[in-house]
Amino acid sequence: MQTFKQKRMLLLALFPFVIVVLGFEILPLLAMMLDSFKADEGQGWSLMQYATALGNKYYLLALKNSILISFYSSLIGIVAALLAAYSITKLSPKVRNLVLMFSNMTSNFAGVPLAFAYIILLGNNGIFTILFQQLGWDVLTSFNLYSWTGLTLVYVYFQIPLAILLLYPTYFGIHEQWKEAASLLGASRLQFWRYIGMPVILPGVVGTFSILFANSMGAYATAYALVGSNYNLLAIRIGSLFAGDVFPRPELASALAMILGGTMIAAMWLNERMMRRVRRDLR
Amino acid sequence: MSYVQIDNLTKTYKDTIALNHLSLTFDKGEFVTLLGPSGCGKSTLLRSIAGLAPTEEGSIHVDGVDITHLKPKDREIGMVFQSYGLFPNMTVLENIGFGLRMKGMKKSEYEGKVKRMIELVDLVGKEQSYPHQLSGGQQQRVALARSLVMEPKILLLDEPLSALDAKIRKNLQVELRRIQRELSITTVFVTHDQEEALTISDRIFVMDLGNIVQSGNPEEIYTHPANEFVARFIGNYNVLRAEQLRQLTGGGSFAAVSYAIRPEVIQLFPEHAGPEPSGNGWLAAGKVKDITVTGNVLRYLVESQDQRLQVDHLNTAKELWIQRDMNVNVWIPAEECVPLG
Amino acid sequence: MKAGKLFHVSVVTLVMLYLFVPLAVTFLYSIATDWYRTFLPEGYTLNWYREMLTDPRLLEALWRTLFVTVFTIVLSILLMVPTIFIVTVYFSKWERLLQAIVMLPYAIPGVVAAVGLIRIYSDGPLAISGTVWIVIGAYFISILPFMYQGIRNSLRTVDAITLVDAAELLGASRIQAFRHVVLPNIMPGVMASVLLSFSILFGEFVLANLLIGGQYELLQVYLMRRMDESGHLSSAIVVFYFVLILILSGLILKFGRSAKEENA
Ligand SMILES: Nc1ncnc2c1ncn2[C@@H]1O[C@H](COP(=O)(O)OP(=O)(O)O)[C@@H](O)[C@H]1O
Ligand SMILES: [Mg+2]
Repeated sequence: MQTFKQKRMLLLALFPFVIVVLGFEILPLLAMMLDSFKADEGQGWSLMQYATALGNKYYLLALKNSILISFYSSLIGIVAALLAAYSITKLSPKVRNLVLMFSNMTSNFAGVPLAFAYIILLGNNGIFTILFQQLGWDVLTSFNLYSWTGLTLVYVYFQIPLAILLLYPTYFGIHEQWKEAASLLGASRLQFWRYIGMPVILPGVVGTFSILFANSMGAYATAYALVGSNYNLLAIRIGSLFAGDVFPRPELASALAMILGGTMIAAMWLNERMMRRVRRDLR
Repeated sequence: MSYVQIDNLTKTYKDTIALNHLSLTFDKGEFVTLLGPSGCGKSTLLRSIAGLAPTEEGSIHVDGVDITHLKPKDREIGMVFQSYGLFPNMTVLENIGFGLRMKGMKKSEYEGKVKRMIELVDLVGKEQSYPHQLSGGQQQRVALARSLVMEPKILLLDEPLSALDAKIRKNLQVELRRIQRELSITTVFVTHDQEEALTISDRIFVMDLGNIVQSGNPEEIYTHPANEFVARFIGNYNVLRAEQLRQLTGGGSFAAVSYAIRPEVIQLFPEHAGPEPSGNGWLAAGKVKDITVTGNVLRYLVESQDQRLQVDHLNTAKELWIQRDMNVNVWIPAEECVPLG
Repeated sequence: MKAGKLFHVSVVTLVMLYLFVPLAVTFLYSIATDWYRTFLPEGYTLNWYREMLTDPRLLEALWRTLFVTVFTIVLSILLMVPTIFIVTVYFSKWERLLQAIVMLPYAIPGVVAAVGLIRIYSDGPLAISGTVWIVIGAYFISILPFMYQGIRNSLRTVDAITLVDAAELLGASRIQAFRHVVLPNIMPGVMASVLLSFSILFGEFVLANLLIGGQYELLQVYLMRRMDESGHLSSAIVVFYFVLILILSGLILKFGRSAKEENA
């Protein structure tokens, strides 16, 4: 048995960790939550920040934009990754490892460097842009990197490798025998995927989608590096409420941050619910 | 013509020959067992019958129809896998009804059929359970029902009981046989367990290295192994070459290359005095080197004339006189020496 | 059969090409003299790299980033290893709580984290906003999930409890046992997490930009500010950064593998 003194020593050893976590994780989060329910300049409790955030067209649009770009980039990312990850499982182990390693590397290629790469590629003076102009191809004339389509394209870039890495293992959850059993019972390949394959990997797909969605909801660096504060995205709006280290409207920023977090949680919850409808075997 | 006729079937994987010009036939309604050591090609044979493993040579006829090049779903063959292969996202009812649903039947149309099948395999009350909520034995029954409900021409079972523990396994053997008789469905059962094969089958095909080495009913296979491989695999036979047997018996003429003697037919007698053997046979002096008890059987290792023999006796009070390192007389009945090809 | 294989190879090739092209173009741009009139660069040069390596601002940003990163990770090891060890061994009923605390940052985007941090530290007794300490604190939190996983797993695989018991039987004090027996044994397993944290922190922009920005210019902020000035120079920096990540990834793989082999 431990003596009381020993126990106190052990607790003492936990002290530094507790302080840092309190100071930089728990208290800031709490402060932010409380702030979001306060009037400007912290004067009394109020829901006015949420009213501003959700009543103001500008902020509402930012929320909508964030949700839309997150939804679309996640959707495109996951569809591409579903295909790619499946094809990867069909390659020889050597090539497979190489491809996975490359995906792993590119999954680190996000934020400022990624935005920069796309600017030299497709920006106003981008190599492809100019090249296509000279060749007289007009596929890119209507394309603008600094538009929503452009931003979505860049977001998709950082979604795909992440999605591949997350989805790839779920395919190994499909036993070869299920395919064989299904084919003996008269199911076509399509029917196998519809009734067994897809439902089986669905939890993995949904979980991945939630991560991708959260990933792009919170993404700041990529959009900021492309056009500074010009995109009306929620993360950018929050960031632009800071001016250096002074903080004109901390309560409003807090409410927006809460809404951002809330959206991510809501999306996760929604995904989970839809998944349970299909997979009733999972409690 | 037999109901199922397999001719000259050959299948290779890279450099291993899984099926080597294999031929066999059996009749409608028979319970046939493929018996052989692991890796001898049993699963490959089943899978080629089902159409899951394309073969390079040979043909498969069922009921006079050549099915060699048909797709699995067009063969009307059911298969139960060793690890069941149940669909995890479907209930027992949905698993069993899956094949009928794929035929385009509505739930209301196939439900009655599925219910009857659930009764047959004794799973009433589990209709809405998911596979992960069932025991291994129950999962196996679902897999069986899922195949049976399709009323296949042949039911293939690939070591269906080997993942279960001994007791459930014995019960399911009996169950399986009951169901098979009730539906009189032609069944091919795969196992590497000779005891299981001997209890359950109408007919046994013993396989080795991608070939059938002997076929016959359990009695024939057990009492008259065709060669040394079968003798050793089926019953722990003592296999002796002719000159070894000659040395042991001190004479006698043995025409075949080698002989198999079942361990339970060899009798032991006290060295001096006591009862004498009767009938036609040979008596040789020997020494008990080891005794092991395996439940109801006592297993002696006896050395005689430099030959080691395994002797199995029922564990009764009559055996008490035999001790380790004791000198004994070994009696080998002549009619029990099975000549091997 | 053959057609299927061709399809899979094409899909993978296409996706990998999509991922590869931006990298390749950035690299070409970094060694190009001029590249806006022609299909391929008009000429090649290493000047941009030379310029990059002699840019005192970059070197400063690099050193700052290195300092912040190393400091954060060392601090993380110093605090996390004993904490996880003590909690798992002596206070196992708190394990779930610890897990919730360390996993939470995973779900909190940088912008959101920054709001609360600035709120607390912009005034009052602890006005460390705009200093390097607030960044180190924030970084400490953001790598918690990864460090926790690595440390927890290697404590488990080296069977730390038995090790300490054995050391104590041999007469070592608990702290000695921890320092001389547990710590050296788990370090190889923790290495993968350390390197992963390195690559995450080297690529971190949001917190760096919002919490101190230009007052203490870190690598990503520097890159951001340099982008508009010279494209070629920036692409050289991006390539440099990517090679750094590459080396880290390679090391992660190597350490991850050797840690796995040790377990096997
Ligand atoms: N998919 C495969 N690829 C390569 N070799 C295989 C494959 N399946 C079976 N084999 C080989 O074929 C032989 C027969 O295997 P199998 O039919 O599974 O034997 P059994 O079921 O009797 O244990 C073995 O040598 C096995 O290694
Ligand atoms: Mg097998």
